[in-house]
Amino acid sequence: MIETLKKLCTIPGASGDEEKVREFVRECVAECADEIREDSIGNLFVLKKGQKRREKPFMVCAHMDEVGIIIKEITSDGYLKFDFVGGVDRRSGVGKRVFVGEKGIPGVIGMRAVHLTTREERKKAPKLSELCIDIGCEKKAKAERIVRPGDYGVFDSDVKMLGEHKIKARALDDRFGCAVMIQLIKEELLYDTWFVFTVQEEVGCRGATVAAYSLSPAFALVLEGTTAADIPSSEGAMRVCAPGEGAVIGCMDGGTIYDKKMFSLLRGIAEEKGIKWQMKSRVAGGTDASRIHVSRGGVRTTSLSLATRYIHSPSSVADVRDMEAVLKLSRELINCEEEMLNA
Amino acid sequence: MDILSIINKLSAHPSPSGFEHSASKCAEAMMARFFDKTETDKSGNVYGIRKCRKKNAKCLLLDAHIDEIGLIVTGEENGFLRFDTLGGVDPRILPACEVTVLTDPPKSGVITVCPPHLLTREEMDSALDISDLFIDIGAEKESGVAVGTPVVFNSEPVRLRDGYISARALDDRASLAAILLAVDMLKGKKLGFDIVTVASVQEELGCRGATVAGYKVNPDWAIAVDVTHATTPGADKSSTFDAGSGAAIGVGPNMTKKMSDALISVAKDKKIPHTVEVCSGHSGTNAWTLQTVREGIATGLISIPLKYMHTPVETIKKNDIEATAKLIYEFVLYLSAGGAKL
Repeated sequence: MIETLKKLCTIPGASGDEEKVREFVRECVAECADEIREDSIGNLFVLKKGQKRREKPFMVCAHMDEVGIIIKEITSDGYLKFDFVGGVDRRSGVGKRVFVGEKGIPGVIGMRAVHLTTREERKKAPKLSELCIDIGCEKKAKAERIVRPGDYGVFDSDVKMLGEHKIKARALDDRFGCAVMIQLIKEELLYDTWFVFTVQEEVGCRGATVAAYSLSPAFALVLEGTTAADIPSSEGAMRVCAPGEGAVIGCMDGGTIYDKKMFSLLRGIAEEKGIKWQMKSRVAGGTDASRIHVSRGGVRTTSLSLATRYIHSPSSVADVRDMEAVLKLSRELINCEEEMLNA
Repeated sequence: MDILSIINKLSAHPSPSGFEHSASKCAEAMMARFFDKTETDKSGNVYGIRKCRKKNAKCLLLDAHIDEIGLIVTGEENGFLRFDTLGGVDPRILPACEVTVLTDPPKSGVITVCPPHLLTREEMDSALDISDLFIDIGAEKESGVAVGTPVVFNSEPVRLRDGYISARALDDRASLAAILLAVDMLKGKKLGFDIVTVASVQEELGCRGATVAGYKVNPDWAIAVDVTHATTPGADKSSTFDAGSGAAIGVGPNMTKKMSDALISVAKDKKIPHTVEVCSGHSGTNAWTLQTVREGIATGLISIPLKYMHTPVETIKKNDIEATAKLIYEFVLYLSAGGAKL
């Protein structure tokens, strides 16, 4: 799973531009899947048959898209004005390298040199309107030959280990969830299960909205990366959750109050199997669950998340042991006897 | 040897001010190819020496600094490293910045930043202070990193369009590349004076290495080669130079007038792309200290326009490095030909 994740984190796929991720996922699951289909918005549905049938579908979901960049305008001197796709703290973008356009043209997000700024200016984050991507082109016409407004971009960030247990990469949110699903699709399952690789989570859970409608599941499990702020500048509950402390079982966030029975079930499994788990100490963030749990007549929805530091920045950090914990808990949940879910 | 390969070779070696050893050794190995001999001094400066084999020969010192801006570990909290800056670092480049902590072996790290989901708009509009930032090396509890360990930004050189190169520490490795290129072009030319090149240390902390180098070499002329600000969006055009405009020749009290005049006239004669950079006082380069070493050194300054100075994505145009190399080369020939009795 970790090797698949490492590959997934090198593929560009900002919201609305998930094609390369989708094609990679399709290749990974092609041999093990019992049915694969794609819908108009770009979600990829993968059915994995188990030993038993279910009355209504169980939907496992993770999003393929990541926060990124979209080119808005090319200036007369060849710089690219841009906007972020999804929630990016622009302060994390300053001084970073990016790849833009279909061909992955390298560029940099520069900032006026410190020597040319005043003390007052340095107290404020540079405005997005002050930031440009520099691909080296000196003329608009030349830049237009390789980049167009509407082209997407992502941060240039490799995958590496930090210390013994942590991985640093771009887009751990939510390629991690995709990697867990790919792993589960390769395994023997007790029940038929639908795995949905969704699009456009970062701009408002757009893919999950239509996926849940079309699948009309009875249950949903959302796999996500979530906000860890266990850094020295945060204290107490503001730390939210911490890499290394286990799988985050969803209770409530900014978009969803998760199904209480499924929460108890997951907690029970974790305790019984000795799988490390944690809860978030702050109601923050949101997941595809926000749209799934209110789909049609309502869907019983739960989530398992990966505590991710520097989430939505070029360099997110999470713990490999937590990834294994989420995988184990997900496996246990989807292989649960249906009576347990309905109890 | 070309510019890119010089910059690529050096880029594997971190050299935050005061901790230049690895890059200095690399520079010395490169210099050995261009000079008769190399030397180092107590402060860590590396010299390449080319003798003309004349008695009591005069000497020209060509300076580029080998140090780069960086960070230094000052403590830790729960395994996260506290740090201060080495040289002029705008803290606004730090959130989510990737770094290498120079332990043996080195450790990769990321500078902390709070997830945007947890911040207010006001918080995201204000710059973070160094005291709010830490380096995450993935340590569980104790980092095992000693206080005083230096840190550099990660950024391998990348080629952009239109002959631009982006990398960390082009300030001032681009200048060292220009000097080496010039000396390479001088191969086989008979000169009437010695040339000493110094890759000097600790410029970013106050031109300390150059002070020692000037004293040790005791040259008749010195040229500091450094970078200046290239025009970027939002910068005041009156204090920047367009990338591609060539070598910026320093003029003002920090530069000996005869040296500035000679550099400008050589650039004009030889049709080398150049501009004039007016410095009303401190040029912010090693020219400042070189000018007043011992009894004083006739000092000139050539600067290469650089975008986004002191960030991990410093960006430079190759042509400007080449123009600078050409100017140094032609200036040396001019001096050797009797150069207006400088």
